[in-house]
Amino acid sequence: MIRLALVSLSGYCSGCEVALADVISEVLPRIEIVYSTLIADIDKLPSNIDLSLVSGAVRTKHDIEVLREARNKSKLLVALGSCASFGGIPGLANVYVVAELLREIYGTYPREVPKLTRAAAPVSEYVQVDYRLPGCPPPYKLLIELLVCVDEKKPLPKPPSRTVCDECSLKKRDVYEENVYRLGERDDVDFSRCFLEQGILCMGIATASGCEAQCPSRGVPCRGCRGPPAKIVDQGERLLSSIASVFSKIDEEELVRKIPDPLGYFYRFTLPSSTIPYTPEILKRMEKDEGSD
Amino acid sequence: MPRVGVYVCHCGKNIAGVLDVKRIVREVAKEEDVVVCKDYPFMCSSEGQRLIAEDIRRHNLDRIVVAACSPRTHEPIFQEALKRAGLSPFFLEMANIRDQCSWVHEHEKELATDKAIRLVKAAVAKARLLEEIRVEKISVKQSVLVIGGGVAGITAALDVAKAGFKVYLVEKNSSIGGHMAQLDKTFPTLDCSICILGPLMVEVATHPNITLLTYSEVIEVEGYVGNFKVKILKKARKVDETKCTGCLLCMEKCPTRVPSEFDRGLGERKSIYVPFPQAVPRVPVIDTEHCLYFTKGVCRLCEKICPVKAINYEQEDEIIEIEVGAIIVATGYEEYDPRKVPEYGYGMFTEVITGLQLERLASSFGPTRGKILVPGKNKEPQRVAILACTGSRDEKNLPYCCRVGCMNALKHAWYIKHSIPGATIYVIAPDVRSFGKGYEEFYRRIRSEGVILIKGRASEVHRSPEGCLGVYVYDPSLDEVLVLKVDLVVLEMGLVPNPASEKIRDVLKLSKSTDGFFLEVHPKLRPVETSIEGVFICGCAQSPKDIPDTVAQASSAAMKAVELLAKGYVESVPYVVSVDEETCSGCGICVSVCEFNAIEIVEKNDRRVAKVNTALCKGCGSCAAACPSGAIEQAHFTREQVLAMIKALAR
Repeated sequence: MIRLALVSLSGYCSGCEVALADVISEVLPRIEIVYSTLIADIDKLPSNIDLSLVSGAVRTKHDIEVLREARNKSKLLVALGSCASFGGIPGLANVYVVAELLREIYGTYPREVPKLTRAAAPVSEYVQVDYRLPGCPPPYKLLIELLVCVDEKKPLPKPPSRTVCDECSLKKRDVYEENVYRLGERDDVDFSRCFLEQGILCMGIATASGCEAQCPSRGVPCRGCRGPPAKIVDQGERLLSSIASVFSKIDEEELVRKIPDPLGYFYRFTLPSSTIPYTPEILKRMEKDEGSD
Repeated sequence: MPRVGVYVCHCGKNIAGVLDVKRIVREVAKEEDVVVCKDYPFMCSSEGQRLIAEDIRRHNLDRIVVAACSPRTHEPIFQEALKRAGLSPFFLEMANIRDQCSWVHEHEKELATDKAIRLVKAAVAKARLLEEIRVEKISVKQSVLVIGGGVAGITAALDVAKAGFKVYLVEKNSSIGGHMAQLDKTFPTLDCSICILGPLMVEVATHPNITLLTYSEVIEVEGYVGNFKVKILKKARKVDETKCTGCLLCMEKCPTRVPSEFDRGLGERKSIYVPFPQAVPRVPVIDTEHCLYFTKGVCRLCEKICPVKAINYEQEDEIIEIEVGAIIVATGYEEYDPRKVPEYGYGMFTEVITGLQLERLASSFGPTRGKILVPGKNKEPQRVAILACTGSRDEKNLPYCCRVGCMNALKHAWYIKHSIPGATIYVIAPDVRSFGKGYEEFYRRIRSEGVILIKGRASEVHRSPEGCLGVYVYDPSLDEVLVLKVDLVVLEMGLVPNPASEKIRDVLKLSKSTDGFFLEVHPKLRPVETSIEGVFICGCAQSPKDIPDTVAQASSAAMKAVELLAKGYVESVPYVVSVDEETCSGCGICVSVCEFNAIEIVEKNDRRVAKVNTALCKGCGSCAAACPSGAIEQAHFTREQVLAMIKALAR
């Protein structure tokens, strides 16, 4: 029986908890939820936690406190989902300074929000993380595998070094179109063939395997939610390099026009853990210069 | 623990004039693992190299960082220095603090020094992680392929053959000779062109080391420096080369008439023909598009008349496969299309011709037997305008100089003056660039012979009411627009790469510069080498040039090929890539970016994985940069090494 804490940080959407609800019938005999503000209404962290599943990005000063407490009271701490693992979607806000961000969201209305950190960050920026299970939401098979391993005290599974392409069933011809399209822009898409070869941006090439290529096999290009494979640090940089290399024959300006939001495409889930200067360490320095909100 | 020696070069004032070299040395000396850190005025001098070698022995150094100029030019020099001291050449790392720092930041000395310190520290970070690389010796095939049978190809082929190596000379037309064979005379000496080229053409045909393949095209090249496998398409002549004696009776009897390509459309040829009397080989070819037998199934006169039964209508295209160690590309040029400069009325008025057409009119074996007659009028022109720089040095057309137009214009003025002494000749040129040996003298000679030179560009050519042509030109010395009434207009067209060179470019995967000509490795120091090792370029395929320059460059290309063959072996490329099959997910990005077809996707244990042919890999790094899963690593540029550099830079 795992004494399980579900630590939901503020930058979360509860998708990961829903994923857990998906598998709960299979793992219920193995777990006892000792802390959750979302599905169990226990708002005090007990001691002696076997496993803390942390979801959401770190975004407020309160998050940091809860996170540190959870770490101190847990044997194992796992980052669940892309936000906790890499910073996730909330991480895209890191291109704004906090004052700008608040003004954008709340305008001049009076507001009562907890004090924001300078940047959204993955859990690993503040505490030691024993394992990352990324995905938006995390694939349920991997979630079960993880819980079984913890319960049976087996070593945790190895993070994948292969990419989504390895599991993808779409046919490849190893020939690339000399143009880039947005999905919906062309009506002759062959849904049995590799998207990227048809000029439709698919992030599977630089995204860790484990999801069984669920999106591409259902007619949607990969968005990259599983983050980079084990050998890669910066998923967005890899995507950018690969796509720029493959479509090098397209006129540069045309290519830029076809990809209106490169940050959103290539760093959708991983901006705060990338090498470009939005990492908390560098932002902390900027914070001093700007003054906090 | 690695022991790193760092050497900062002053490069005279190039580096030390901007950067505070002493400060760089002080800062870098503090880095972990740096045992020695020194500066020296010229690291690449023999004394500078000796300094490195000495320190390697004295301080037991095992990694060397040279902070100086570009590794592209100087890495081999310092690698040799390491070798001499008994250290692997791959334990060298260069930091380019000249081209990438002092040269570009000369006004911000303080900041530039900061940057240089970071660059050197990054190089140290990488140097610590450098690994030994094994290179292999690969033997070189003792033969050379020369593509193009103009004066460049002929010269290169003869030079290589005379050095004792086998040569395959491939020419797409039925005879060698190229454009030089079309010229009447050459400037500035006014040598008869075919008289000096003809003997060389015969020498090519008879030299025991040369296999001449005319009416043939290179269609496929595989392999790498020293070991190219080449497929050549030998088009069917329909005439048996082994039987034909070159009597040309067939040509005499053939009843058809076709515009002659060799005479630039001004004369006619038969359907079975040699393009010109001095053709080599002197074996005719049947133009199946116009031959009565091939178009209508009748005639067969040539077959009946041939005394040696050399005509063979059933002859088919043949594919010849050869192996060579080096390739020389001499595909030459073509005149820029005069119709693209429509204001001069080429194609509209028969009296407007190009420079090469005038050559054919002036040639003793041309359509008029050397009499200069206005096409379509059949009489000698009394007034002639020669328009230099047509299409050249013109942003709307070709931005570059053709390097022969000025001298051709002067030479053509001489042709006309010489054969029609009373003629009035205008040469209209923006500038007359007579830069070569004896050229300025030739220019003065032409001026003294009464040719009228007008500085400027003609704006238009019109049909004038009198029936002749009117050339409009603004003369700055008179500050007036002149209308020159002339009988003949000669356009000195700019030069463009031979259209057939595009196919060769595809086959060999050569790069071209913005003007479309083949790109050399370095415009000054390596003018005949290309980015594909073992492939050399010369003549107008590289850039427009005159005959002396072409011949010199062809000999230079031949020398480079001979150098390669005589050495007998090449070393394998050290910085090749390798694939981690466990990580590779078979996405195929690498296959699509490899310019050298060195990667393919193979099935292994039911998985798609990339496989690299290291013999073909040139170490360009494109695939390693593009590989999205990190499965591809390039030696000397591993992910670990590059990340260490980035970290050092960002510190």
